[in-house]
Amino acid sequence: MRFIRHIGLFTVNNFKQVRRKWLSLPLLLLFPILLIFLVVVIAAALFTQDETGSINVGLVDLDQSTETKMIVKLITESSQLGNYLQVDTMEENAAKKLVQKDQLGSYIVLPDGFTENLYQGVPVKIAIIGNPKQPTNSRLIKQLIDSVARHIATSQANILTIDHYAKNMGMSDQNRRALMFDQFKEFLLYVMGKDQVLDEEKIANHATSSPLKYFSIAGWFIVITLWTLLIFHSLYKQSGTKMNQRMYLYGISSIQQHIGRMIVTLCLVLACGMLALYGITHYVDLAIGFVDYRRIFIIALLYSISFLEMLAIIENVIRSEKLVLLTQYIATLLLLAASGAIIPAMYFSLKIQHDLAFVFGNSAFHWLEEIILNQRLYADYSLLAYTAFIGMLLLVASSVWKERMLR
Amino acid sequence: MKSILQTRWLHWKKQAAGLLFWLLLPIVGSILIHTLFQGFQQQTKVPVGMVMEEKSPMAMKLLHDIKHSPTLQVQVMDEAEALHLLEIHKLDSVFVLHSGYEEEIRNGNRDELLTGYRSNLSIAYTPVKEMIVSLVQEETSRSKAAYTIKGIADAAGKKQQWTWDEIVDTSNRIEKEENLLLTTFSFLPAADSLKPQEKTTLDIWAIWVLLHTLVSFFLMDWIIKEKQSGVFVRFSFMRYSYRQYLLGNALLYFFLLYIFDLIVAVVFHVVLQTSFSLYTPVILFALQLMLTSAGFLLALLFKHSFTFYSVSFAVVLMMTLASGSSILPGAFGSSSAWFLRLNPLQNFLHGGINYSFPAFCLLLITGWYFSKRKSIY
Repeated sequence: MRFIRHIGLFTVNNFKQVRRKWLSLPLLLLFPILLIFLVVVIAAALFTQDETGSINVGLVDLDQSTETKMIVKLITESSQLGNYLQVDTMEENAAKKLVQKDQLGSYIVLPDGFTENLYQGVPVKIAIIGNPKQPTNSRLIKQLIDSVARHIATSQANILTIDHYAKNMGMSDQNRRALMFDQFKEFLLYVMGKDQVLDEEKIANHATSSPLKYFSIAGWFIVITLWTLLIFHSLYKQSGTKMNQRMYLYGISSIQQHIGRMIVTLCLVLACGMLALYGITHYVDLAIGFVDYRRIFIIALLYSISFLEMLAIIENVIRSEKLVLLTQYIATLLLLAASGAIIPAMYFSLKIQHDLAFVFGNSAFHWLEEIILNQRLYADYSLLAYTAFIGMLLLVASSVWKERMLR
Repeated sequence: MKSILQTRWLHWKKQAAGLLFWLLLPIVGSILIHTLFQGFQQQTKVPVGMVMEEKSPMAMKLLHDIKHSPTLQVQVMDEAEALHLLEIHKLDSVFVLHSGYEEEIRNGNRDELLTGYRSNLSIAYTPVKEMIVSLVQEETSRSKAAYTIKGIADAAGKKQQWTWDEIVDTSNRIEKEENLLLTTFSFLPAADSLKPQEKTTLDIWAIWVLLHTLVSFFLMDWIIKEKQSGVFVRFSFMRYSYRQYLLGNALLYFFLLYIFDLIVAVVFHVVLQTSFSLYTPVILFALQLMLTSAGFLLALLFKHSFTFYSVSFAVVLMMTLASGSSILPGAFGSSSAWFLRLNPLQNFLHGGINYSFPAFCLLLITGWYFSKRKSIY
């Protein structure tokens, strides 16, 4: 009874503290939203840049034969390497200079004797020179060139096969030469028409899941996580050893203070979080009924409890304030990464996906997705509830341990 | 100055373990994150669904080749399931291999042998598509060669005929034997900069500088802690004013951190082969000057160390986001958006020096030093 009264005391005390801080509270609540807004703005800027300013690639033709000229012309004019490559022919020195000036993603060199060697069956090396300042672009180009190289290698093998059989048929050298040139053109066009192999379809299921909906839920999840962290921090109080000793005499340990902080944090986060969700549903047009709100509320509650327990345990176990903060931030970051709100979980390998399913953040976000995006009428809270329960046991254990260490 | 060093030395000796931990954190942390990320990146795979309407040898060979790719995680399933998983974004893309695949290829057709489905969230569709198309086209173009040879033989009126399989085998053999086309990849040696020269997945300097910013701020907490101690009153009787004492100590911290910066440059150069030039110490000097003076000013604003730490975190978090375009390998090139230029670390990330920000901080410190206020700090 005394224990509960103490918790009540700290809870009321913390509420008073929040009221006194009414000016900084909105700032606290706005900060995560600002962060996410910044991410969106940066991402938007990067993506628009990506579309307008495609990757520039230089093509250096040292061979200058009819065939390479044809390849170069086709590549530069039709840009078959993908929509985001802009290919231009140039001299090697010019290409080098442009790479150094960071105006070129990389350049490709068709070596001297390219065509002749291809016809003769001599191995040919295509050099791709990357721009060290744009490693990603360079590797992307390398990947695409590898696909192109596979096309060329196959075409070449086929031309040589045709030559082989033509020889067997006793065709004259001159005729064969003409035949090979014909076949070269033939296969070049064939490679250029490669996309005929595939019939492309795009699935855009706007009813259940557009990117906007997915990202607004991920954003909401990240925001409530950060709110929990920030509000919990803002209620932190530095109390000296003397104060702690005096409180100890009253039978107060860190656990009552932690629970007091947790209750206030939970109330604020859940109230603001549900309001924010209500706002989002109106803005993004998510179909959530009243029952769904109840399920989402339970998920958010259990998730926040587990998360707060984690933060409190870290505070108990580590003594240095700096280190506590660092550990809490790293743990939060890992939790968010594991939840799949930053990178969708499907991009993890199956083994990792399987292991992550036991992390409470991942489970919480998974069920949020199921309820809001996939209109599931049911949610499994068992993992979240177990985590919250075990977390509470650990919290008690860690505060008892801390008490022993201090004495 | 000597006496300041002596008193600070007394502090440092007592805090040796903690101080060393924070000084080494950026080096160890950045190397750790770097290796972890590399491991993680190998673990991330693009989930692709394959629908096999036909299980002929040629179709299975294609499936085998696709599965062989290290970047893909291929699951074979039926079409309804695959499309459902794509719809709820559990798959990046789905490729359906239509029945009659082998027969069509043998007949010399190549139109729409497969159907590729992408969703509005598919990230890796284009490279995956290009790969699959090039694998399919290997088969179709061999078939084309076989028909061409048949045509030539017919035109020449030859009796001798080769079978389709025979010709395709020859083409396969020639491609394998000759290993005809190789691509090589190399980077043009970079001009003078801190950037690593060989390809990296994550820019190690960028991770380091963010951790280092945090630590540079954190280590300025002595300003807050010593403000509260009882010694404070005695400054009126000392040779130094309180402000001189603060500045002198900040200078000491600056040099301590700078020494560790140089160690980092050497360690990265030795361990990770990043470039090291005469320009490197200059860049690091400017960086450290900026971080120390900014941390100094920030610490002056606070009464409680915990709030100071929290705000430091917030600042570094903002910087991390603003630097994100330079850290992640997925981001494109050097972005020139105006708000990214507001990031004081931007110049450093591109191997340059930011002049305006340290100058501004130093100006503020000078203003603070000469300002007339009643309180002595």
